[in-house]
Amino acid sequence: MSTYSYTSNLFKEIKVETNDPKADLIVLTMKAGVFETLKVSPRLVNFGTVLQGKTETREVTVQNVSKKPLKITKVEATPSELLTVAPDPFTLKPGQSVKLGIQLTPGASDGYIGGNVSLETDLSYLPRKTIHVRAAIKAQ
Amino acid sequence: MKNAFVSVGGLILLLLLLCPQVSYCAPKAFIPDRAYDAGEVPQGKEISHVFRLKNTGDEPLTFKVRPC
Repeated sequence: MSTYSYTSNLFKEIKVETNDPKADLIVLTMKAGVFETLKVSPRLVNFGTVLQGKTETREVTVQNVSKKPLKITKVEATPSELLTVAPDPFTLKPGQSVKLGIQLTPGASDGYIGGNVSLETDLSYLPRKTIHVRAAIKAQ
Repeated sequence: MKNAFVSVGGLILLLLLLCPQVSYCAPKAFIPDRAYDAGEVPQGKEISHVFRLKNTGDEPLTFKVRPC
């Protein structure tokens, strides 16, 4: 099973039904202590209400909490017509952190928007980490 | 009288022969290890484990995993 959506302890029960009259329900358990190697804070960026024509920026801290250097090979924001992100690909030493600037430039339409910033890494088990973005665009 | 004893004896013998079959004719699920601890795992890494299930009874064992 994937540990992608876990950042701490994982506990999973698997229930097996059998025709054994003395054990018609068997419960199997799996557990793991999941730890982050790439920490992103916050994981959800909420711009709140943004007026059309006004550009807003929010910062996200990205930290390498592993004991090895970690490469962010690609940084991509979607929808690209509304969101931009800096800096470009970079390398984090063990313990090092970098602040990402996520910029929102509302388009012509108002209403709620959702997007994300995707960080691609050189880790085989964590090829991508996603930061979710939300905003409510209001006409001036 | 002698015939009655023989009949009762025969019935007891028949019951003794049948009873063990009645009590043992059932599937029996045996799982040596029901818990798996993967230890410390970095986020994103897949974890997998094979749970072994053996039928130690004398009837076919059927099973299905209950959906989450």
